[in-house]
Amino acid sequence: MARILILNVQVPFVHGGQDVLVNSLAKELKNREHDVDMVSLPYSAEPKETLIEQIALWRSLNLERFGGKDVDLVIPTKFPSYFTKHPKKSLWLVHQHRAIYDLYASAYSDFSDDPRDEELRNMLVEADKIAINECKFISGISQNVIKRLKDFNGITNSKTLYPPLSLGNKYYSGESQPYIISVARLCRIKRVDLMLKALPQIHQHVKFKIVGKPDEPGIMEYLENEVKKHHLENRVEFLGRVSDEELLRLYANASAVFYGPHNEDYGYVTLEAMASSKPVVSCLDSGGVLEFLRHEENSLITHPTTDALASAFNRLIEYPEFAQQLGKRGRRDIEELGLLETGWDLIIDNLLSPLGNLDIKPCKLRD
Amino acid sequence: MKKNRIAWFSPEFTYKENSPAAWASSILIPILRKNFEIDLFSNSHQATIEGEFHYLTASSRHRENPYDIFFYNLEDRTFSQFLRVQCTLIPGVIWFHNYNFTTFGPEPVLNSTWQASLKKFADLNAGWGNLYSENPQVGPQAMREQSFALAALCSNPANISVLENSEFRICDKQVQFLALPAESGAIRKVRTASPKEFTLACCSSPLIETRTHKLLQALSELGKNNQIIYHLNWLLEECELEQANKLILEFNLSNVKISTGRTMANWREILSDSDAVAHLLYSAYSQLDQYLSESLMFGLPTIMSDFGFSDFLPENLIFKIQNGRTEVFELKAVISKLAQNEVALDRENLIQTASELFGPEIIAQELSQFLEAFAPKSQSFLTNWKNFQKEAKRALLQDIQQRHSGFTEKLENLVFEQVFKEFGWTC
Repeated sequence: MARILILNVQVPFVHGGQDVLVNSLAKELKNREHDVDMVSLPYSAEPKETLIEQIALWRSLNLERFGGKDVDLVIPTKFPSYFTKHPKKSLWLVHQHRAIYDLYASAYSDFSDDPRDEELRNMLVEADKIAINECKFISGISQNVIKRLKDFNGITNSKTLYPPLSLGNKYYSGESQPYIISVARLCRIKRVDLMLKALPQIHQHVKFKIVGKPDEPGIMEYLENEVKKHHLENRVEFLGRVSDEELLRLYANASAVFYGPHNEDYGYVTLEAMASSKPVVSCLDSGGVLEFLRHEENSLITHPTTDALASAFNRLIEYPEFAQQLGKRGRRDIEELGLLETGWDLIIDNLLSPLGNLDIKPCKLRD
Repeated sequence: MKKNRIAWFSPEFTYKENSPAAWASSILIPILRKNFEIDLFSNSHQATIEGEFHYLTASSRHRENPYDIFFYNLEDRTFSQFLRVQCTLIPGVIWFHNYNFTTFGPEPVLNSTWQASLKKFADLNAGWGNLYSENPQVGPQAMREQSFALAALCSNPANISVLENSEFRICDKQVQFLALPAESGAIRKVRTASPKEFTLACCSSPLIETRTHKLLQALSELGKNNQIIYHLNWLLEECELEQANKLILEFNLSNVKISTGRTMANWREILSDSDAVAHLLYSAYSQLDQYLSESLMFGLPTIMSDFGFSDFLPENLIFKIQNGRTEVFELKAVISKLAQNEVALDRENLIQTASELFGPEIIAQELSQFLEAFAPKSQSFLTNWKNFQKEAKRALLQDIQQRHSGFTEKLENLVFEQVFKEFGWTC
């Protein structure tokens, strides 16, 4: 048994894939009889100068010993949790601060051409290299995340460990009803607006259900305005956050799932849709999502334009057998990848590798 | 003697068929490397040539082993937008292939504090720009980019006067014309003319700005004369087909041969199967790219709009057309004369002139001389710029320090001072 701390970065009032990941990891470690706890610090990306303070706070935490006993391992997950100091850091990276890397010089980054911003970017990049290279084991949640480490920080000794789905085998498929579903935090990078703009070109009887809470100032007003502008009041439903049961039901009865974010890290939604035997429509620049999708085999992958999206969804609506075929193939793929019930053993073996040959007990039966 | 080190920014070479900047870089870098140590910075993580790096690594490479000159190959393409951000972060020589941008650029350009940065650089006592207020840009002109250019080169001579008379500038700068190079060693054979048929080549998009509708109208009207059959060899991109076919239908043309894939290889094939070529424009500030250089290198009779680049070419070697009401009439007259062999064109002379204008060795030599002469000025500027960057870092750290000034001294020392020292976050 090892004493392990999972390091979590929490954006207050926001819930997403990060929460699912750390909670599932904690549960799985506990199932293997490890002594596990979580250290969370609040995180805000704005104003960007505070990133330095947040790094300093993580860095100054002493996590080596509590209650007279050593902490054997810490598992940082997201920027800036990996700045913490510990002799055994095992990184399972969700993402770095992307505004200084792959999102730099795009509409999704708040870094300007001001020399102070450039200095800040340089400071963050250099610090990232130091902190990540301190880790005894480096992994990321997708090939996309690992590629960014290699491309932007020259870190090559890292491994991809895909997180399994938290609801495991509970996903099911029901009768398809005429609606498309989007599950995502509501922010620009998730591009739900693209789908709203495509909707007028999609068969009129098809509705669009949006699961997720707003995560950016003004985003709700913007999306609601798009709905009004395109006269979609009777076709679009904002559902906010829903329970697990409700989410499973929404997936199960959807005709198709839209998930077309810009360069996503991983994208649980894709896998959830596949687990529910539903066809996914995604975009060519959607990043980690594409590691699981194959155009016209288990999904449709289009250019990130309204025309292309509308045409893809109309194809699925007009040819339900084709849609069903894609969905079934997706389910098979997800089973083969071991991302439903199984998959955690590999992740935990890897994350705990800095501890050497621990006498790790086999996993207890899950509830 | 130590070679000057150049940080050369360009779109990846894979875009070269559709990018004058990538085209020029791909031809000139191998030649210039004889005299300079050149690192190529693109927006790609996969190097297409040795010494190619991602542009976000430029500043750390500069810190480790300083460059003497930063060189930016700037154009109006979406895949080139990273250059617009980068060229103000460390100023250098900018080779402008466009001055007006049809796309307004990425966020840092749209909401830039460049005017404040410029003032601050001129006078360190001036204030910094406000990072958190909106700084909307006034228009699509490259005002911001040209203001930070230490020297400006333009492949379109029409831009020279705009650049020379710019309102904002980081220093007094030299502005100079430098044409886009043609490839050396390409086989350029033209066919023997037929007295009964005449084929014109064109590689413009069917957009109204490129005046192709005028060209099609002229050919349609000429087609009513049964003595000569007029053909058009039109090189397009796949996505332009629909619009092109609409135009062909509108003008009832039957002798149009469309090829798709705007590449130099395809263009050469078309040129070798044509009797003349048309490069029309709507504005002096638009760009004809490398396809014009290639047409002239072929020594084919070349019809051009009477402004912009054509002002720079010898009068006796090209056929100029005025835009506007007389455009179709003039096009018909020129095409008809060429078809009926009524104008004598000294093809050898044209090829010779084109080689002098667009020959890669000649352009590389011109650029090489320019860069050698410019290096001392650039080095001295970059030293000043380094101080400016230090000032920026000092201002940033001061701002951060002010934010946590409410902490107790002990906590501040524990949390911040040690960490800042560890990461080198000091001035």
